[in-house]
Amino acid sequence: MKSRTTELRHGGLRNVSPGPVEARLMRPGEVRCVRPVHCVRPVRPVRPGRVARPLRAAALGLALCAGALAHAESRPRYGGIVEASLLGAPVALDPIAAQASADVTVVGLVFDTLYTIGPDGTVQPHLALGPPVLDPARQTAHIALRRGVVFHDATPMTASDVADSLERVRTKIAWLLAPVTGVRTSGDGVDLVLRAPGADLATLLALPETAITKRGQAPAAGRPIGTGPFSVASVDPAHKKLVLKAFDDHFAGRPYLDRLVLDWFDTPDGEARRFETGATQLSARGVAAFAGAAPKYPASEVEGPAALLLFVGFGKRHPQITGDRRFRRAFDLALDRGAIATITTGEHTLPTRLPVPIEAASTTLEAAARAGDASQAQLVLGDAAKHNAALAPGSLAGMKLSIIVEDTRPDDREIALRVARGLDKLGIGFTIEAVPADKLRQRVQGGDCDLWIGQLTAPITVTAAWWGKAFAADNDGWAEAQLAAGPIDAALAEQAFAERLPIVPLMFRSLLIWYRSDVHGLGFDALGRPGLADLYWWKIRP
Amino acid sequence: MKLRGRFTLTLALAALVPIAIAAVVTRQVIAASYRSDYEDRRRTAEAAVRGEVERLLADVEQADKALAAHDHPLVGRLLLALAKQSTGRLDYTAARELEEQSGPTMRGLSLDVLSITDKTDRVLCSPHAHGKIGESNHPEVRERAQNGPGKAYFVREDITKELEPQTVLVAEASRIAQDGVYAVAVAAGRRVTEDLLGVRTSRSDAQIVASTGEVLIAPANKDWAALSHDRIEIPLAGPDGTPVATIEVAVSDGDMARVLRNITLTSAALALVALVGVVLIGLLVARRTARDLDQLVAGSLAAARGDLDHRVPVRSADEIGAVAAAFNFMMEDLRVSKERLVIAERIAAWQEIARRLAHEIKNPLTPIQMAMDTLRKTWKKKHPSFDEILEESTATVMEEADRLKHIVSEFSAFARMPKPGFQRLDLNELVRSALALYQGGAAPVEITLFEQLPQIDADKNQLSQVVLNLVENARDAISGRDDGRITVSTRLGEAGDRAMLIVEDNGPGVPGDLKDKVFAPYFTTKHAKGGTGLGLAIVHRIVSDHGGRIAVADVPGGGARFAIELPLRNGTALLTSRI
Repeated sequence: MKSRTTELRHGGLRNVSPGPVEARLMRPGEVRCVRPVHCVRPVRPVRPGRVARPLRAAALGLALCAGALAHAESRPRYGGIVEASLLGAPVALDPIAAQASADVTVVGLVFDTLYTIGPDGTVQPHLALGPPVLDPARQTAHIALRRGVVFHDATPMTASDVADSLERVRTKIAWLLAPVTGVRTSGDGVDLVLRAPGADLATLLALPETAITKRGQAPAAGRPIGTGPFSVASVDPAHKKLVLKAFDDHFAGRPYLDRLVLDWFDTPDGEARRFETGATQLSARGVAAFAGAAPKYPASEVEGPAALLLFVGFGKRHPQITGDRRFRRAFDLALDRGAIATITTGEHTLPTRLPVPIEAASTTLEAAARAGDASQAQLVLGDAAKHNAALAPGSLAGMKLSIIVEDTRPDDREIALRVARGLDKLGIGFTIEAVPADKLRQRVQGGDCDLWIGQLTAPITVTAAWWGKAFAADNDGWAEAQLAAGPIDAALAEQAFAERLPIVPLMFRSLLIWYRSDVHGLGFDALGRPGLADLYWWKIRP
Repeated sequence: MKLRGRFTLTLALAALVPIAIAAVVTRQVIAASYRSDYEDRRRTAEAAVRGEVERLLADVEQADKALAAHDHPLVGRLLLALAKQSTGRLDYTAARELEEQSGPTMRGLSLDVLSITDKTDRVLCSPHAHGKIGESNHPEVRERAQNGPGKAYFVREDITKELEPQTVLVAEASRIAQDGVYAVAVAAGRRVTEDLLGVRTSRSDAQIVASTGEVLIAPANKDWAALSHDRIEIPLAGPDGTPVATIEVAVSDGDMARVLRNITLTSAALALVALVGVVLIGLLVARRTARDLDQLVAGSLAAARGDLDHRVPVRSADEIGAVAAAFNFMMEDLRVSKERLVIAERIAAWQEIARRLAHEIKNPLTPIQMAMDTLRKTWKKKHPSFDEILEESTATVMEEADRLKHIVSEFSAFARMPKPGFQRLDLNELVRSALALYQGGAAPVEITLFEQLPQIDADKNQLSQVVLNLVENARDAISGRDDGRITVSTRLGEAGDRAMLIVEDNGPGVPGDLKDKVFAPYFTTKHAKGGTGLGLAIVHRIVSDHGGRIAVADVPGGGARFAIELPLRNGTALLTSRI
């Protein structure tokens, strides 16, 4: 017997299906993590490996009894496989390289961080036992580590692994641990030597980039080893499939599911077709890909916070053009973000000119500003041409700037078309090329493009992370320098961003996921990641 | 120009002229026919393109009219969806539905462009260019719909296919679709493709050029420039009536030019072939004719040389053959006449010689007769001086007998003169050798020789006798004169084909009436001096036997000049030239 609850969001009425998803009144701009991941988790069974062999039979009997009891008490049951879709191909299974939604989602399932950020913005210890403790001189912060944490290969996580991992983050992503000058082991935890006191270390250490890897090394590409709730069973880029296996020894208990299969697609309706035929149980497009069509299976939808920033990054194929800040400003003005924001499969989109979501104290883009100002853009470009001959109309007349997008993110192609319209208004030709995710990353890193459509995600309330990632996307050290001295001043950051425009933000979007009504437990964390680790079948499917 | 050349040239001209006239006339007739056909095709092509343009515009107007109807599935539902939204904007589901259905609707109507904007000029639908969906500030769709509702025009639109942007020319029509207070502007367009240029065949082509000069649809023909010198221009009017592009149609007159060129080339080839044929035939005919004439010429020359046995072949029964036959007949007649003449001359010569010989012999017989008669008379009378008279008479008889003997021996020598034994010799050396005895004498011989004189074929002894006889003759002429002078000289004939030997003296010369007789045997003016009259006759005989000529002339200021011409080679007798 099904009941229906009604949820009022953003002034609209929305029908949702019954289940464990909480329904409550939401305010505009509020983080819509319906069911926080890692915040509320059902009681998990005792890991069998830790039970002495003579007691296994008894434990198994207890577990079965508990399961039967749970079923009888409407508690989740363990087992089953869920197939879900990702928002694009996961390229980097290395935490420090994870940027796009798919990367961050997978990293969150395979690796753990010292802290996590709840949907209400509060930082909670995860691998850490408690918040960082400053020494009396406020020059060192000590973080005690949870005991009994093991990697997927059954080796225990040590303080050395944590220290090495953080040291790697410090050297590879300079802005992220800019307040830290060194990391060392110290007893049951690690000491972080601070550059300046006052840094919100726990928040920074909740970012997925700071997840702990074994010996602090980059994980193997095909079989990364972390401490997360799932281990990687197989990676099959040819069939666009990543299979995760439940990690029995996860310190917080194993996930309900035995396996989690993650797919990604290169056509707009490929994902929806698979959902419609029942092959996948979770889909970001779901039934929405076929307007007016009724879903074959009973389905519900849940939406996370708009914590995914889509932006235009700049390559170096024509640095005299795309490297010019005045060109970037003209381009920024020419974009019709209102049109870009129409690219949605039902999820919430927020046009923006700043890389900071409204929840992180950014401002809402006015309606007039959403449409852009082509005339003003042309004036800015004309003024720029006085200083840069490459921007003169004659030079730009035959120019075609290349825009590259990831071929497994069909929405990005539509976004690229709108972005190209901005170039068109400036009298600049363009080409759009959809390339595989790994190629896109290589070309972006090598500067082999003019413009590229990128994604950034961070906890919506962590301002520093947004600024840091935005500037770092163009290898701009402004944020790093600010963070090394202390918290970033929002006004100063907005001014610096407007002047330097390391990226051109387009819009924030959320992730709206359709799921089969017999799959439960779906929620979102502060980064807008779906909480796939907490999924379970209402009735176990073979 | 020789007969052969003139004949060939005349034949060539005779062949070329009619061919040229025929070619020119044919070319003019065909050109007129093609020009007329060309004009017809131009008119047809222009009408065809204009018809296609009109049909395209009508199709687009009809499609736009159907789209803008409030009961159209796409626009009707859109208006209904707008009516349901209090904000006046589509919700996600309606937008998604519009986006999904707009593409098939557009393709279903065979359209390439479909733009729908709301009352705020925001693009609601743009399946041909997804990048425009949601864009604001697109008043042009509404303005066009308001300014000329339903009337089609041409405009350049951006479309995107497979992420590839391109700006294309479309025929478009715009209308306002309205349902109550809700209205949207609907623009439907169809891309202008090569189908519009259906006139593009092998004989005509077309292109579409934007008002900016950009070629939107290039001509199919690679040598468009060659056939497009006389283009038909059909403007494609934009929304405001000004042309946004022009269809340029070119009907090829290449066929005409090609045919005319082929006619010219064929005529030229025919003329060339005819010319070659005529020249070959002319050469053959002229060669045959000229060969017969050449043989007649050779026969004439042979006759002139005295070769009366020469005959020319008679190869045909035509006029040339008749001339050859007549020539041969004439030669035969000449030969017979000459033989008769020779025989008569020989008889006459021998009669003359016999007469002169008899006269010569008769002269000594008279003294002998008188001496014998005196001796007989004195013997009968027993003349006391008989012994003395006997002595004188016998002396006279003996003297006259010796004289007779001399006459007979000279005659014998003249009669038995052998044919020349030719050898290559230097005439100058022969002259110097023969006259060596005369150097330092009372009447020295002055010798002037042409040193570059080539050797000649001659009998050395006979030619030496010629030189000596002429010099002796000159000495006789100048005898008794203190200033007597003899000059012997050699030189090369003007044609370079003969050697000349000249003997001059400053004696009394040869009287004019005797010049023809001095070479006759036994003609002499020197009986008193014991002349036999055979010296110059022998000279004449030797010169003739050498194929040469001898002539006598006066020397200005007095004297005689004997000039001998001798061929350089034996067998090339001199015929015509005379000094």
